[in-house]
Amino acid sequence: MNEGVQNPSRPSSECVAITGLGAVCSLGNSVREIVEAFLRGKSASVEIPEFGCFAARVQNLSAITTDVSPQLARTMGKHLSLLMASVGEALGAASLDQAMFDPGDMGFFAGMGMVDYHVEDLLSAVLRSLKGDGEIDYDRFFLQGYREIYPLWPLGMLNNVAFCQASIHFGLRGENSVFCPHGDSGVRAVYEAACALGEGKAKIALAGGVSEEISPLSLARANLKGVIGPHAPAAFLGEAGAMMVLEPFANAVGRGASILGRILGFGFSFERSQDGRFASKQAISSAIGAALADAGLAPAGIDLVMLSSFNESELEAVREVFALQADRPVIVAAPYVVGDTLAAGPVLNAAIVLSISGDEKLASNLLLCSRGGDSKAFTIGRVLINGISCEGGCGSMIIEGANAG
Amino acid sequence: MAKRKVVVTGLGLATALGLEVEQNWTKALAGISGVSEISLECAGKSQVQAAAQISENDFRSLSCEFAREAEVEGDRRTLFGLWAARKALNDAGLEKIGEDPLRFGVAMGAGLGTNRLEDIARWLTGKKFDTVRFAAELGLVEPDSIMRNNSSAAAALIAQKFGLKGFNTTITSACASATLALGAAYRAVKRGEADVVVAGGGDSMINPVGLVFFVLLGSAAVSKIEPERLSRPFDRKRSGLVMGEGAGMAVLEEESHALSRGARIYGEVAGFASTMDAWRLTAPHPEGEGAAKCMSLALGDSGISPEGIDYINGHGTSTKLNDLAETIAVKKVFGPCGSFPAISSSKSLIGHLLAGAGGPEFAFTVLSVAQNRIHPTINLESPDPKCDLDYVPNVAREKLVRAALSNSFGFGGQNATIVVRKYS
Repeated sequence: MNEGVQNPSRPSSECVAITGLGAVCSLGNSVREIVEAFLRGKSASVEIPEFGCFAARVQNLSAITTDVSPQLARTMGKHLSLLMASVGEALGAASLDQAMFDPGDMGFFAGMGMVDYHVEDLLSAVLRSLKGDGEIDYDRFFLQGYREIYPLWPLGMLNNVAFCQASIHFGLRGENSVFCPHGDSGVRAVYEAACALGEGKAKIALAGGVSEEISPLSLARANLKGVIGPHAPAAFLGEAGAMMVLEPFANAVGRGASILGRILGFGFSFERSQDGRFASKQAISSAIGAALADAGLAPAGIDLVMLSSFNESELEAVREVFALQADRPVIVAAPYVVGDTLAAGPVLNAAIVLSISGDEKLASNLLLCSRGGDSKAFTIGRVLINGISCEGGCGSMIIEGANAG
Repeated sequence: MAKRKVVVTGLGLATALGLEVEQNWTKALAGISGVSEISLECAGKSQVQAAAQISENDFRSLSCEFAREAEVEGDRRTLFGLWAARKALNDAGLEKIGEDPLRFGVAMGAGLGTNRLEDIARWLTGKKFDTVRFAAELGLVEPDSIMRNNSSAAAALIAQKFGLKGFNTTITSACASATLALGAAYRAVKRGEADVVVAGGGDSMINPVGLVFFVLLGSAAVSKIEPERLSRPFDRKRSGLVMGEGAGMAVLEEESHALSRGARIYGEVAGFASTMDAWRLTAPHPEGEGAAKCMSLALGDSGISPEGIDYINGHGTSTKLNDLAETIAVKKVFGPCGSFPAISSSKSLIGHLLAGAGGPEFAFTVLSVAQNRIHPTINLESPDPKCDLDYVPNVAREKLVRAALSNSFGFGGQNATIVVRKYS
């Protein structure tokens, strides 16, 4: 949605309710654990000395029951468990089970981080295929080496396979799409879900995202793309999965669902910065402006901004749009604690703020976390959440807690 | 606000049949196969010996055109996407984006990128991968490696190169990606999110790991017959998919925007839908349930009844399971109206472009609607008795095509159908 353009078919945003949230990240394996740790100022990042950086991995992810073999589940890696855990929690929080809905009415939209092979998945094949000089002998690879690869390994390399496995497990057969791979794709997933509800193409929709698994390959890519490393010294990658359940407001009320919040607006734009390492300030401002216009709000109507990154362009854009002064809006950068969780970031941020928004004490703690100093009374009302890609894509969404104002 | 119509005003292709739309279409109608013996030097002992490759001359041409991108982010799929996007924009008369660039966007279906064995071999110390040395030598990672190429690189580079600053999305849903991207673009224009979106997909897996990818999964065609006869959808002797590479992009534009600038209109995008099989990761639903639902929903979205569809560009992969499931699905949707549309498979001609497949297939669908001509399914010599519909075997057909569907069904169970009708 671009500034000033009316959207003829997307639902009036008041009609879309958030009725379930699920999340997993380095701080915990449920929304509650994450929020508690977040407000305690806990950080679970650890140093990765080889790469001279930090990273925040998900720990002790409880075993998730899936319909696939353990070896295939291992091949799919954390993508599968992060998605399954967050979908399961979100559906549970929404008090939805498979018997309650026609699977064809259930939309499913996710931003999915890149998938990478685990070196050990291909290592035996490489070793079987080496010449004496250390180069690959492809005759050997095609005759023998490739047989060392687990036959279903290719499935784990497809970005949509964890998503499809989740659809099998939870019986989701409606409108769907997998967007890739950064923060903007997480916002896009929520937008498409809201549209599917408004256009009557789904009755319930799951939307959110999954980060990349932290591995030598993902760290290398983040470094080569400037997401981490010398150009972004404070940044680090984080693993996460986060999903929300969306429903038309009237339906949610009708079935007695607990309403956690609602969607107010979206904005998107695209432009790479001059150095090609992030979105431009103009593009970020444009997305924020479009989201405000879509929500029918002035900048002063926003209480809290959840940043997507540590990037200076994003901070400058926020400063410009909000003409920051006094103490509004409060700015929070969750990546300082959980890392850059890419496609999972926007809904992870939504899960954190919506869990806090109804509780003035917790909200004041958030204010304390974000600014230090006095913890004065603070109520979270409308929240702007950014999802930005290092490739230049920008997405912004505005949500409001159920208990706001 | 009045309902916005979405029309197609530009097409761009890069396939084994050539780098120009006209060249592709002429060869497709003539039933010329783009499949040939694999030219990849190292692939002599590969079980897969045939693919629909972009010729070396053509690849040189497009690499020169995008030399900077080839140097920094040199993934083949990205270069194909850039080429096809430029061609589509030129075809639409949009060489320069003069007006509000925020109203112009990109939607791209993208595959999994290039996994290079050298990225492990180079950093072995003894029999172990040396992470420390690897991390210290990242500058040595080759331009085409997955470590330099996010899936969204093609959409980003297209947007950057041509100044498209609005809607931008990349969809990674296996073989359904490009059609899902076209559907996302259709909806973005229809909803008013953008006025013009260049959309489609590009992919290439003709590399060593890509060549064993479908062998491991048991879905690659490895028969020792002439390469040009290997991709044979709906034929009794079909033995699996034959990889292709390239890209197909289309310019989707809001009707009044197109009319106001006097653009040529190929056809109207009339509807779209997606569904999930939620059945098996490795096989389509045997009764084609997800695929049938997808076609029905897309028809419903378009307001066109099954009787109004004259042609289906099928997913038609040349695998045993897919071709049968798609046939059953078509029968479910069109059976009640007593007649079935003609179906043909572009994959018999240009191979399976995987995540990019829906791009060229959409272009061929649009041309069929615009010109009342349907390309054949080639190599359909001994029809599978269970695949008993009209697949336009071996010879192109002239036929009134009022409206058509293009199907894409992805590995894992994601289905997408887009509807194109004559513009009036």
